[in-house]
Amino acid sequence: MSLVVHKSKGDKAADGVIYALLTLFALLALFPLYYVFIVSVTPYIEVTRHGGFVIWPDHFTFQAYKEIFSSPRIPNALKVTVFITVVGTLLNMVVTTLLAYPLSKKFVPGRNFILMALVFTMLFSGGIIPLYMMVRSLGLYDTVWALVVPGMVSTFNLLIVKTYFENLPEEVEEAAKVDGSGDISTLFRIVLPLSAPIMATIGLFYGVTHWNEYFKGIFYITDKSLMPMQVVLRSMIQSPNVSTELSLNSLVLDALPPETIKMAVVVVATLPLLIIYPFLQKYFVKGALLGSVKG
Amino acid sequence: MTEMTGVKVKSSAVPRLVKRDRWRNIYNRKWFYVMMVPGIIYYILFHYAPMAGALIAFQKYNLMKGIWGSPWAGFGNFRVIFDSPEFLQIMRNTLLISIYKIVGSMVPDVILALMLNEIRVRWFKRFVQTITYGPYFLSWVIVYGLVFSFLAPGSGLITNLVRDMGGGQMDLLTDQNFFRPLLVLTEIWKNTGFGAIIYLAAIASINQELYEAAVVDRAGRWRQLWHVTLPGIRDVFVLMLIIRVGGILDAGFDQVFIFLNARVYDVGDIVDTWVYRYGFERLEFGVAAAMGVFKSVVGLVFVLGANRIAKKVGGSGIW
Amino acid sequence: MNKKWLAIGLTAMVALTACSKDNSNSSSSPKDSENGKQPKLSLNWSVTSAFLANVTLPSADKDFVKKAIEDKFNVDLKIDYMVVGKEYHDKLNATLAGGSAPDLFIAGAAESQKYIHDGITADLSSFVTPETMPNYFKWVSKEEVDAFQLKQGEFSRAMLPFQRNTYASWYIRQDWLDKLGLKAPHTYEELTDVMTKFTKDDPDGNGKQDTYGFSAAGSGLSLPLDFPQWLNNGFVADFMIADNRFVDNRTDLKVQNVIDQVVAWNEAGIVDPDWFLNKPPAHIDKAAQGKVGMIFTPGDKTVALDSVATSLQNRTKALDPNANWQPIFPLDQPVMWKYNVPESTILISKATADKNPEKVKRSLEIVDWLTSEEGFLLTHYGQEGKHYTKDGNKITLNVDAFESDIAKAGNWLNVYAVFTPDEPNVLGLELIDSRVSEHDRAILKTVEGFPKHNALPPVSLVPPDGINIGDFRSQMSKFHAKAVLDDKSGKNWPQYREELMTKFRGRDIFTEYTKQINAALKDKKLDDFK
Repeated sequence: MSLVVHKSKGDKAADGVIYALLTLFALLALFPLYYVFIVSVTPYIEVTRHGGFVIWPDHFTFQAYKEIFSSPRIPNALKVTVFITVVGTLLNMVVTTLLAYPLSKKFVPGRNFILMALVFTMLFSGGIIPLYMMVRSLGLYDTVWALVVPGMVSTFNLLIVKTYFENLPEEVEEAAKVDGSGDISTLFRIVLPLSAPIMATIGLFYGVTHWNEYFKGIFYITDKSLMPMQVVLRSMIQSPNVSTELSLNSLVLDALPPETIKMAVVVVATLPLLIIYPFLQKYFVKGALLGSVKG
Repeated sequence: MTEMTGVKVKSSAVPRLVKRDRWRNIYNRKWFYVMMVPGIIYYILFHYAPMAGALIAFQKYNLMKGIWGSPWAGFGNFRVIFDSPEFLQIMRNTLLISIYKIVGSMVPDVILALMLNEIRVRWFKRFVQTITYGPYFLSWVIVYGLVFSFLAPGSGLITNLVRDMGGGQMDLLTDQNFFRPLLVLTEIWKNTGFGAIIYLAAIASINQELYEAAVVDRAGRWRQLWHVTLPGIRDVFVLMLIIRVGGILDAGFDQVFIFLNARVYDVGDIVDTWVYRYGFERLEFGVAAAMGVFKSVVGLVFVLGANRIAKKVGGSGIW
Repeated sequence: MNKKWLAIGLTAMVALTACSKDNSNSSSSPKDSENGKQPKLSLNWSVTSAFLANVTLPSADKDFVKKAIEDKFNVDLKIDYMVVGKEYHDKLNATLAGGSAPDLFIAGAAESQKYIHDGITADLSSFVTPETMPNYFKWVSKEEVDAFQLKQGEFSRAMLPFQRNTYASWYIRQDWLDKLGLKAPHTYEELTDVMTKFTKDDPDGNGKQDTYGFSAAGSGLSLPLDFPQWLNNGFVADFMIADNRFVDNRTDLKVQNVIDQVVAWNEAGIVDPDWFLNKPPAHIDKAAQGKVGMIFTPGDKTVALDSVATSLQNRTKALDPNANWQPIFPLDQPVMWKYNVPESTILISKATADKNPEKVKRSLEIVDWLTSEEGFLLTHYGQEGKHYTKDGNKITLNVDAFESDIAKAGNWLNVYAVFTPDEPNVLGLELIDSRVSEHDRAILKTVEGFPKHNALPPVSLVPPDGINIGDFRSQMSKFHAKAVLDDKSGKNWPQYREELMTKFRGRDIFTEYTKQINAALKDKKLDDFK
């Protein structure tokens, strides 16, 4: 944040405007989240009565959550998702950082060529079929690694880290080199501790991607016990195609999933992400570089 | 005179030495290359090897014969796209919507980050940060549902309010003038909180000493912003801009598809919704792949251009 | 220290990728021949249906169908299953392209054309015959299957047995009719009168004029076939043959009248103004709220049933205890809707048929068994004695056991039941399900009894190469919307239609369709498309 020792009246007014705008925006953002949560605890009848738009229900019900968590598929799916989120993010960060650091050094021969080649992959893609064939031929198909290895490096995140490393003052690394530190230990002992904000950022980005993983679960997995959370959750609210056939066996089960369950699924899928973000925010602090450069 | 001779001697007498130096240079930095190995292997396996799939755009792809055996269609698939009577319209819509979105959402992202940066009260800052990042995770189906319940012609809450107050019938969702702004506004609503994260991280990594020096120079909040904060995030902003510009023909299929209706096709139909409809009553690969290649080529041109401009305007591009 | 760590990490990565390179594709069969028994085969199927949404197969010890199949046929059957849709076909395409085609797979009729055309599928004429698969042919006739082929004389795709009867119907608030002292309408004039009174005369008695006669869900795309004005002008569903000509209902010349009549209803205020933008089931939600007097469904049979917890009937009743939805055929027309057409196919991989024809034979034996009475009972109702009792041709469901072992355990029988629709009457059986009340039985009977016709022979209509039917349909949508919402009249329709037929190649498309239908019709040929 900016360092202002003495706030003038104009500054205080500006502060007021900023607080007001942020409050307004926070309310606007809170609104859909609130809506999703409220509908998830409102009985379906009431949801219908209000035409889908509930401000405050007369009765609360946690039935939808009970239904979700009593499904035998959830514990397994949760295990899978936690595994791929933790292990996957760790791998992501290691490989991405190892790749970004050399690319942030302008003097490394071949750097521009490699960068162009990587950015090229952001634009050009061969489509899902060749990817499927690659996953199959590497023996990853129907294993948990199919959910982790493809997507190991996101070029977007890579570029962010590279840009960040480029902006670090050279003196810090020079000093380390003078002290006899090799390239790799410079990276680990000097550069990384100064990179908390960016590591938190890409850790968040990768983590969120893994948590939300849906497509890979459908495409690369057949064994239902390896399905990640999002696949299981979404299947709970898919309704049968009400075009021509509706089996009598599903007569007692809902013909269309009620709004209550749909929203409860969204809450279960999203809440962990909302909870984890505040914990990461402490890495977004200033002063990481304070005192590291002397003279 | 002396200088020129000096230069001349240097360039003609030492070519071999330079080359050997180069290899020695590489050897000295060998650990850099070793570090990059896992990442490079990944890219080769999962990006470059599968890229052959793009060839489908030039083929009459046959599942049995595969990429290497399918007959060639030259530019036939592309011709289907370019010959469509809708082509100019979808191109115009896609470009306009993309540009509106790039400008309309990058700026709020930065502004939100800057505003959060000014907050001293920590709990308030954390609260706003977390709440505003939430809507990013909601699907467009839900967002559209909310928009619909406000703006639907019959049952919309706002529509009814306006009608009751004598404002007449409001048909915003089918209004061609409102469609693109609606896309941008809902995008801002949904994505700004998440989009600000990268700028918050960038701000956090600005050297504190720069601020201290500014204070010594008696710079107030606005001058600090202009001289320290903004330059500090400039590289990240430029990076984001270049990347987004590379995706200029990607106007956001998920969102547009849900918001689209027949009355706003003329302003809202984008390349991806067109491709989706093309493949609807049949199963075919070539045209979709051709559209992908087309988007990639256009994106590449824009990225190269943007990178060059970024460097000229006095900064760094991606390379 | 750091370098060692890094080296280990790198080695691990390389090892991971290198040592697990697997070049073999689909399952190869270890053939053990046991004396007298068929050799054990490893089969790989890929199935899909609309009922696989929230479905999971149980563990092997609870899966009595798997056990029965393995015992009877000596196979190791791997089934990959997913609800039907784009994701299923994307994955299927990838497995087919990647050389790991399943031995037997189900695909949509439209998609199957590409598979057949590309040569991925095998010729079925020696495998699927009334002699080798007698049970299968109880569900579909040889003539139908022949007409279903892409090229006459070939046999590359088997029809997946499908539910013949449609449950399309309009439903109306009988209690509102009673309250306002109205008879159920049977002509367009009567219907319009009833719709007007539903809107203006406060049928729910709450003192406010907040109800509409009719609502529909256009999804923002076009004039949905929900509107009775279509049928009123002789248009039954989306395609039909009239006056010995192929008709694409939505772009026919007479749509002009449909538009005019719909506009008249809109102007009278008797249609929910959200009808155009409503995405299903928004109109049903409105009806459940008690705001709408009549809706249409192309196939949801649960609308008026009280044994389904979330049926429209129950939802409306929860808010208004007098609510009484009844199916109705509100017009004086010979036919209300069309019978179902086959939408899915059974295909066999050519690679398997060439290399391991015995796998094909065994797979089809299993399918034939699944379509037999024994297989049907097992895959729809469970185990005899435990989940149901059989008395002659009457099957009485043991609801508690069925629900705990099957319905609530992932509803997993649906996976094996993909090959047969839920129509026990085809095999001469009758299901007695105590969950279905008398009231419900009567309603289902009424809806089943509404007159329907077979619109077209079971051909798949393929737009000609190089013509983008997507552009045609989206332009059609634009014109529908323009006529109804902007012009507020059908007067421009003839010129819109002409533009569709020429600039957007409609005439070319439908002439081609006529040709395709003619190829399937053995006797009478259709006249040229106009």
